[in-house]
Amino acid sequence: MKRRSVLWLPAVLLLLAFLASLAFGEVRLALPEIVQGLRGRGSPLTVTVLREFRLPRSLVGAAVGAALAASGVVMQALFRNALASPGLLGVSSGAALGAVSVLASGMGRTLWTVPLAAIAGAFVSTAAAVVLARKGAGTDRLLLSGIALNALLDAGTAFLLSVTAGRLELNGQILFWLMGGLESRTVEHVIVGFPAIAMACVLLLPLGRALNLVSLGEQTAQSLGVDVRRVRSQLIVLSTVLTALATSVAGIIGFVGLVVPHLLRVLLGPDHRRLLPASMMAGAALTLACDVATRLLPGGLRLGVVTAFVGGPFFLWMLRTLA
Amino acid sequence: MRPSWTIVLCALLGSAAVHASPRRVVSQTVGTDELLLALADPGQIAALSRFARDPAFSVDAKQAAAYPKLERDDAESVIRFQPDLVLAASYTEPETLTLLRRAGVKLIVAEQFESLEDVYSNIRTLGAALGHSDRAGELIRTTRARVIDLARKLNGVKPVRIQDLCDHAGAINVAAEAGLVGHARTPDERLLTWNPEVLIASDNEGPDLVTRLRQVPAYKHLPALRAGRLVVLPGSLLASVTHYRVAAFEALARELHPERFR
Repeated sequence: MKRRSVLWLPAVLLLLAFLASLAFGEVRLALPEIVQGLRGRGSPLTVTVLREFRLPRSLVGAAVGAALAASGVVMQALFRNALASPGLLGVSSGAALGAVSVLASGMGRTLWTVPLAAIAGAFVSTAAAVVLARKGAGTDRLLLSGIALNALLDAGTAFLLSVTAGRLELNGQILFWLMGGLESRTVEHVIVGFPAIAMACVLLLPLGRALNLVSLGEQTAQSLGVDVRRVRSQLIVLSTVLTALATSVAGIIGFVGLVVPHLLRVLLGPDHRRLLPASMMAGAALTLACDVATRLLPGGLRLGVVTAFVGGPFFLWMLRTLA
Repeated sequence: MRPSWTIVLCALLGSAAVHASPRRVVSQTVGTDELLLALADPGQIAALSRFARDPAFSVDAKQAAAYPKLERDDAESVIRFQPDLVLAASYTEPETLTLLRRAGVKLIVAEQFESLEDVYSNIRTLGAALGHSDRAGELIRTTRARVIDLARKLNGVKPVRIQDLCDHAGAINVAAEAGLVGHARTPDERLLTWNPEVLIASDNEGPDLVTRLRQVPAYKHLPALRAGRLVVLPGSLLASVTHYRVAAFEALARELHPERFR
């Protein structure tokens, strides 16, 4: 009973982080200015900064965080493995290779090409992982083909990175993308990311019970009347969509999908019907908070680096206290 | 009465000119920093790029310290200075350019900086935008004169085979630009077969470069390195995309053909 009440905590954190991400930045704004600016009043500078710069960034950040955390919950349940993360089947590596190919070929000068190439790369690589694992159709095979594929895709990205090493500005853009970030997100990124992620999250929420059963093991779930094959493919598709979209608009952001589900499992218990919505909110909150940190800390710090800096030690601490 | 009329007229024209030309210019790249410092009135400069004060990249690092600099490269960091003109380059993040355009800021994006003619064209464009076409013309004239002067000095010299060790990625191969015989960077066995007479490196590589290169198998047998024929030039000059490139040519020529500069 007591655990249920904890669900309000991620909601409050998300609200606070969202407000903070609207409030902090290079341009200092007071609270009344922020409220007025969002309504389109006040100085042109304030309105531009809030509506054109910060609001898209906050919306994209929230969607990305929610998507990665939800995808992490699904992967950990599906593979019954504490180390499972959204990128397990090669989704993020595929997205990275897609985006980096476009950047390296010099086609990254428009706003749409990089996100779309990332989405394409993510789906192609996940499809490959599924097809390659098909014969055995077990979770283990899927996991192994994911690992092999990840290595292959990462090698491809590393190859492109080394080929472009002589072109400092191109190399910079690629690294920028590989380390993830929410700087200069535009309405286009909101359009690519936000509605589809929201829809995938809504479709995922009713699958909480199925996730509970699947996480007991395939045979147990089967004997309890779950169509494991169907549920598993639904979950893989939704998880892929979420990670692909998140990566396509913000680059590779690690640790959110790994840490958030674990943390909330400690707070809320293993019931996925609560774990899913709570992880989505907490993932969004963590991503936004880390993004605010990149704005307040000295320049040049990337979001993917901050999430790892925050997530890594936290995770280790959690392991020690729980063991 | 006549002189006073002239003064009034000048004052009127002057204020009109000031209003027409931008008064708060923000430069987003080191290349445009150097052009802006060369062409603008100090009062026109609102902020310079993130690396403007870094001597590894900027020739004008000291001069740039007198102006505010961008803390980050994103759109909000730029708009904080409420610019009426922003200078960027083709390698600026496309998202940042889009956001700045949507904010209604006038943008000049330098697209080409491969050749000296590209540099002159950039100088001309910026000069016109700043209301200082005269200064732009003067800068181009003096730069052209320096190139001609250099060519005259080097007239008939025996070409020196050089190897550009410039690991500073994206740097222009100064040798090829200067019309001397040069090679692209390939530190491997082929280097031995080329057998360059002089090696060129950037000072951004740090001190003791010769000692360190002597430990690299591909380099240690090179006669040029054994004899210590290594020319170290400022990295900011080697990577320059502005009129300072001519200074790089001069520095290199001075090292390769000292007899012509006596």
